[in-house]
Amino acid sequence: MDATAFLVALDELFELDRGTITSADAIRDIPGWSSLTFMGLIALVDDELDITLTPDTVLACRTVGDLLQEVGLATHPARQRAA
Amino acid sequence: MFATDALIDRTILITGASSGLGRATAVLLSRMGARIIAVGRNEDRLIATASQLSGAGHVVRPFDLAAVEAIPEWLQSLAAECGPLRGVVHSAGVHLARPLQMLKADAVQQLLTVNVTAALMLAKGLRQRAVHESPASLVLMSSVMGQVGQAGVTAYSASKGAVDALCRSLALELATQGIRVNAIAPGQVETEMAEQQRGSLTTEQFERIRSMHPLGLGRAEDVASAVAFLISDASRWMTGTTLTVDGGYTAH
Ligand SMILES: NC(=O)c1ccc[n+]([C@@H]2O[C@H](COP(=O)([O-])OP(=O)(O)OC[C@H]3O[C@@H](n4cnc5c(N)ncnc54)[C@H](OP(=O)(O)O)[C@@H]3O)[C@@H](O)[C@H]2O)c1
Repeated sequence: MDATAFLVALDELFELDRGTITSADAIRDIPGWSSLTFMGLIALVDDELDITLTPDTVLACRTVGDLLQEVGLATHPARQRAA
Repeated sequence: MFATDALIDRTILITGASSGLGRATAVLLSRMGARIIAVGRNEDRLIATASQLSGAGHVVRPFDLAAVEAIPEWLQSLAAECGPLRGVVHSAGVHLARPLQMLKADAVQQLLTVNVTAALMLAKGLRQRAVHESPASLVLMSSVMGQVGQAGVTAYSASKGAVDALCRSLALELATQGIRVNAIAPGQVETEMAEQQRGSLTTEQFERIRSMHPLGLGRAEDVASAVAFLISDASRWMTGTTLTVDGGYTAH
């Protein structure tokens, strides 16, 4: 699963139109953020990426981009620009 | 706390013996004199359990309980090898925390297979004449989640409600064979499963669950003691019940 597919899976989890969630979004401001979607987010990472995130790791991520970084799906924009 | 000869010369099969409640149960029942057949998939962890057991004659038998069709015949071969069973403890189980939008039918099926169908197939195997020696006792691990709800654990709750229900019907069906059937409904006990479950909760959510157990979270030994009671003759007049061992969780 790449970053784009992960963002689509997040849209589905939060029941938003495809393309709604972007890496710039603050995680806790996503509409529908609740203890259940939080549980779903951890399950999504576990099911699709085989990574077990602790809840506190997720809570330490401010934006969706921070989360992508955490699960190894970040595109490292800074390095891309330098190349 | 229990007499060291209460289960002397009795062969007891324990599923889920490689971890948590099953392992603690194996340790306690062995101290009461039982000969343990330790079952789970992970042989190394079963051997680790065996190394903690008191007495001699225990065996480790790795088996994947998802192979439900094979269970009755497998019990027959175990009884031929180790002697008839005086008890079976089904502590193997699978937990699943998924909001509905993330719940997949095949994951539900896998959970029901180990938590429910395997329990029935163990009972089917145990009732065979050559497999048990009466009076025998079958103890199924249920959960408080079979009695009260929690958002996101629907499939797991359904499986434990099913365990409570099948325990009653099995008790009636197996009474004439001299087999008692009871279940235990633990609250939150600090085992690997609880650790895994904790992995989907924030510190705040976890603290709330902890605070809902007036006696605090349980230890595996607390549940093992209840199994010891239900496996032993001390509970000879009990069948078809679910014994709640939850530090007061469901007293609310
Ligand atoms: N811990 C709690 O707070 C709690 C509360 C209420 C109810 N319970 C119930 O108590 C039981 C034991 O829980 P636990 O906390 O001890 O869990 P655990 O530490 O996660 O252990 C689960 C056990 O099930 C075995 N198992 C799972 N799938 C299996 C399969 N397909 N074939 C054979 N063995 C399998 C595992 O063995 P391998 O990995 O070696 O296969 C392991 O020994 C479960 O039924 C659970 O639902 C637990």
